[in-house]
Amino acid sequence: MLVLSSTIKRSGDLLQAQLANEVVVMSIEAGAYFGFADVGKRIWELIEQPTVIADLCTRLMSEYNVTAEVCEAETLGFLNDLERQGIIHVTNP
Amino acid sequence: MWHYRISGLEVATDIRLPGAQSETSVGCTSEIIMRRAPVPESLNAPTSHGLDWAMADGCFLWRVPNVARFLISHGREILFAIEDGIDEGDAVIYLLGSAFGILLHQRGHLVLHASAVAVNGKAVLFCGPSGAGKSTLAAALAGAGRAFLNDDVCHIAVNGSGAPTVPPDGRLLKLWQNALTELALEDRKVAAVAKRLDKFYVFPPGEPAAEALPLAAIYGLHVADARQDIVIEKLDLAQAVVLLRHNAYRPLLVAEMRLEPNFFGDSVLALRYAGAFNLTCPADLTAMPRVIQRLEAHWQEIGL
Repeated sequence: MLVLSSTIKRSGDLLQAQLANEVVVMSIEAGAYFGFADVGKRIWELIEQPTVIADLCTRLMSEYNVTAEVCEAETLGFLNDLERQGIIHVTNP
Repeated sequence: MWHYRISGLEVATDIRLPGAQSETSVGCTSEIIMRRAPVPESLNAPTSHGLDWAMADGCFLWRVPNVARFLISHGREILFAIEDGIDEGDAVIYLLGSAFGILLHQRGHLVLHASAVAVNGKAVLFCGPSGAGKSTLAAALAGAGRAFLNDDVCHIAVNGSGAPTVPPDGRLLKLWQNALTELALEDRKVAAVAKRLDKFYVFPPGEPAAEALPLAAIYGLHVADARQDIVIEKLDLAQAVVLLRHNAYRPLLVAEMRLEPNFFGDSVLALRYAGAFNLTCPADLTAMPRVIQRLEAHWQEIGL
């Protein structure tokens, strides 16, 4: 379960590549693919190192015109997808 | 020895290949040797293995139960032993298909299950599962004036500088009888692909492409209901990478040969130069003129 105080980390066995404004990531272990563009691509860049979700949201709110409520809900939804696909790992406090 | 040019490579072999387009001059330098020889049942100290295959030190042993065994080495040689009582032609299907596909993977090429034609000097590929209509579409386009490039196993040479290229297959088309009747190719039929099979080697209509062409577009074929419209959709990068991975020749080989990182990297390099699209169209042969018309319009739209 992801919460704002969770720390997220990219999985270890990922292949990734960028073409124009899109990023594609593959988890060899899970055989899963994920594509990022726009805000998703920005979030992917920001979680290169282990990151607390609340800190990530603060950063996104400074870069995009978005309320805390919307930013937190959408970021948690997005990260939940990534976790389900085996693209990130989550540590809860 | 017989000499052929297959997937852009000079091949020397001691059996005749009914599925190859033309024999080249005897005595030329061969990059690939394929010959009958004793093939072991197993490899010593394999680095990985499955039910019917094993891998060790650049060698891949593949067993087709009750047909033949193949030892494919270093992207240069295929030794094969045909089981007693098995028709040579039946073994050649595996030799020219998966065994040659494994050899191409060993050479580090991006190998896809796809057909291809030339469009204004560029290669256009059609991927899809068996039965999706790859060969039929390539044959129909060749009949409509687009030079035939490839059927079934399509290899893309990615060299990192400039557009990846697709060499002419050098193999004949393989078509079911109903498709070659509908496309009026009866007079180009060569021989049955295998005994008791209603599928035939067919000389492609028109003049096949003579040289490797830069890759320009890749379509994933999807079968639609006969009443549905023909739809072409552009794929985003992740969808395009998945299309190529699903249409690897053969998907399991990429994992078994531990080629995942190379395949992924080469796919993205290829997509730097080639648009990837889904093409949803009826499998009904009578819809083929409409499909060709839609494709011709699409090639104009994307500036091909």
